[in-house]
Amino acid sequence: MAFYDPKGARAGVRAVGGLEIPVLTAPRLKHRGFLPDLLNGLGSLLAGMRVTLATVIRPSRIVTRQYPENRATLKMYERYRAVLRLVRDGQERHLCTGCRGCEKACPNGSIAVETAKGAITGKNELQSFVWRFDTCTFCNLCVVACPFDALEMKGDFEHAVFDRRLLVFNLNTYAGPHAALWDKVEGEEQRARLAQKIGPYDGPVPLNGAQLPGLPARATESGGKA
Amino acid sequence: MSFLGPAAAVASPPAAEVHTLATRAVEALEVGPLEATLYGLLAIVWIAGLLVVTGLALIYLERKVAGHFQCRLGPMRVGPHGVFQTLADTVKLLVKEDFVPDRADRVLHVVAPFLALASTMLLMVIMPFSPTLQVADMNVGVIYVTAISGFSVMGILLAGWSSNNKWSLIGAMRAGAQIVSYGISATLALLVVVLFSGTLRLSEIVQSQADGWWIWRAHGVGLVAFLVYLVASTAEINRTPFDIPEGESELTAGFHTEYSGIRFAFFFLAEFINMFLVAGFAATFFFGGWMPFHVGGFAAFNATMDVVPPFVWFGAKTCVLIFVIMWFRWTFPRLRVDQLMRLEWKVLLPIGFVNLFAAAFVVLYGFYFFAGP
Amino acid sequence: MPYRIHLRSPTFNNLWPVTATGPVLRGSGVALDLRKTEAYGAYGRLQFSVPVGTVGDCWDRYWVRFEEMRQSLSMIEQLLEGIPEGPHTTVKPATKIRLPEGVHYGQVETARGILGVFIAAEGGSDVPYRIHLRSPTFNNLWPVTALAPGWRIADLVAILASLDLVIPDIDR
Repeated sequence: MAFYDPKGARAGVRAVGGLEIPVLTAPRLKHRGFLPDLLNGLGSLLAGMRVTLATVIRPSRIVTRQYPENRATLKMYERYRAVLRLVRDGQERHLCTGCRGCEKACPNGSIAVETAKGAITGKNELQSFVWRFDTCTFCNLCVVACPFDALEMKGDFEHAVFDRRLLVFNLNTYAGPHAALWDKVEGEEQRARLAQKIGPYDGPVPLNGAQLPGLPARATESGGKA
Repeated sequence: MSFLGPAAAVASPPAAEVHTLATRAVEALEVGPLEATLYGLLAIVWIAGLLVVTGLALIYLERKVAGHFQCRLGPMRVGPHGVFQTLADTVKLLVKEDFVPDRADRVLHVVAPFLALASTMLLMVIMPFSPTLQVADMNVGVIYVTAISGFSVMGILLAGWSSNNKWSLIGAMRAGAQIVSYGISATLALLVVVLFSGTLRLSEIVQSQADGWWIWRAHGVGLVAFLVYLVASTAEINRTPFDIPEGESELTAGFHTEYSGIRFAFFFLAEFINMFLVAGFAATFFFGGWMPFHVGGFAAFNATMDVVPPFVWFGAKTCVLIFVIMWFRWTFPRLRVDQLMRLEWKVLLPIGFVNLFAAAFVVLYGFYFFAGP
Repeated sequence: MPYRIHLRSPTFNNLWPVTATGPVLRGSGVALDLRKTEAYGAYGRLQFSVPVGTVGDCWDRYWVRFEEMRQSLSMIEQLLEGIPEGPHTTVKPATKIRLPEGVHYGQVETARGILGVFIAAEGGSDVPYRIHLRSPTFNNLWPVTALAPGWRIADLVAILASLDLVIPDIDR
């Protein structure tokens, strides 16, 4: 095969339906005879070999990392998505209002949001934000869909467990109002009773109606009331 | 005027003494049969040991070199920088279940890997590693090399046929066609060196390069012959870009699909030792084998070059050529089988014939630009 | 709309007329690119060329795709220079869209060709009566019948790859 000249594309202008469109025409390969084709072929082989030799002698970077010996200095990329978290402000309060935009946006139903009307604030409050780590695809659609920027994807990836049931848990640490609503409540005593601490496996953790054995099912009455 | 032309009058330096293990065994026969047998055993141990050690080292090196060609590191965990990786792989292969497929030809299936390894071992016998490290030195060495290289196709064909697997058979048939075809081109290239050195005996071919290696002393004809030999022998050992018989991404594993355990390891080993042998023969014929880098006429320079022991010279040349063969693997895409056959029959074979004809011309009429044959 | 091109194969002396779109079309020499002819979005303000082939073989389609990549890179560079100052808007996707009654069709030029979306809505709800996605692969499937005869099975791999077919995309 004859030598390919990548700059051999010919520029021109074509008239298509009244418009003048600038076009580039593809270069064609030319066969110039046995010996010239052979020498050009050898030249292209040597050019390829020079490229790979440059990689051996001076690789642009070595992509292998010696994990787990490098854990002290290991830093994942800034936007690497390995785990979902609720954004917390300086006082450890979440920003989730319970609108369920993320639940609708999730393509495979890995989020379930439980809300209930708060006694003190009188508004809808987040009870449990259940996230399924085992089916989440880390597609980021929930983060994008949230109107309050209450979700973020972080990059720590060391979450291996031996029991699959441990991969479905609550992301929120308390059942109660979001940060903005919290500030509107007057009185220290009221504020103390606003939130109820919940653990990661409290509440109705199974999703889509499925009952995972061994995990306590939810009580029939809604919790989180003062 | 002698057959070799007027330039044959140039004196060549005295040849180094060549003592092969075979000659030692024959000499020892005069002492007694026990000593001769000991030399025979020594030869067997030498070949087997070299086979294993070279195989292990080459497989490890291939993985490291492959890694560095791909901006990664290769094995790093098993031992410092992964040096025990091949050992671990060998142990793993040894403890695997050795099975023969259901309706396969049992005898052939078991025997085929040994045939592949047999041709490798037979070629190791004749390789001149140094003046004193050669097991046997036949007076028809080049013919022996060509014949045994062609013999290696038997193992592959039998493996593919006996596996009772259509795709293994396809791989084996392709390998058969490929090895037989490219063997012709490789032979034509080697014949050029035979023409220049005037002998078929490998040790004498090495010694004929005492004034300079054939790669440049044989003018352009030698260079063309070397390139043809390199391409043809890469195809003979089924290395990428000619590894259609293995077809790692196409035919699962080609002719050795139905093999596992140590018998698969034999095929693998045979391929890597073949690579070593091919590089060794290229070094022997074109780069002087164990002969140091001499320039005819500069005695002081030649003496400095002689400081390095001959087997180091041989090892270094072979290593460089092995690196080149590995370099081919990680640069070029695989050739399709019809492109492969076209390359041999329509490109390499005509070039080989013309080259041989030109070499005959040069030798017969003495068209030498620099000192003698 | 798919455009008609003529393809030749070794066993047929005649040229086969088939319809095609996208790089398959442009590989055969028809300079039809919706980004130029309809100039939707910001394409009207960008300077780029449309790569075309001459003969319509695999090489031409392959080269068209690579050249389109280069043209896209230059488009991105032009766009980067033209971003105006100021904060970017954060418009969140609406959870409910009210469709007006009627029949709507819109098309864009994608990497494989023209992708069209047809919506028929009764009005009043956010669920349309009918949606059909017109995929470029459906049009580009038929050139196989024209290109394949006369070549080896190994060549079929290259032909299918050069047509860039996504088979699940056919049965929209």
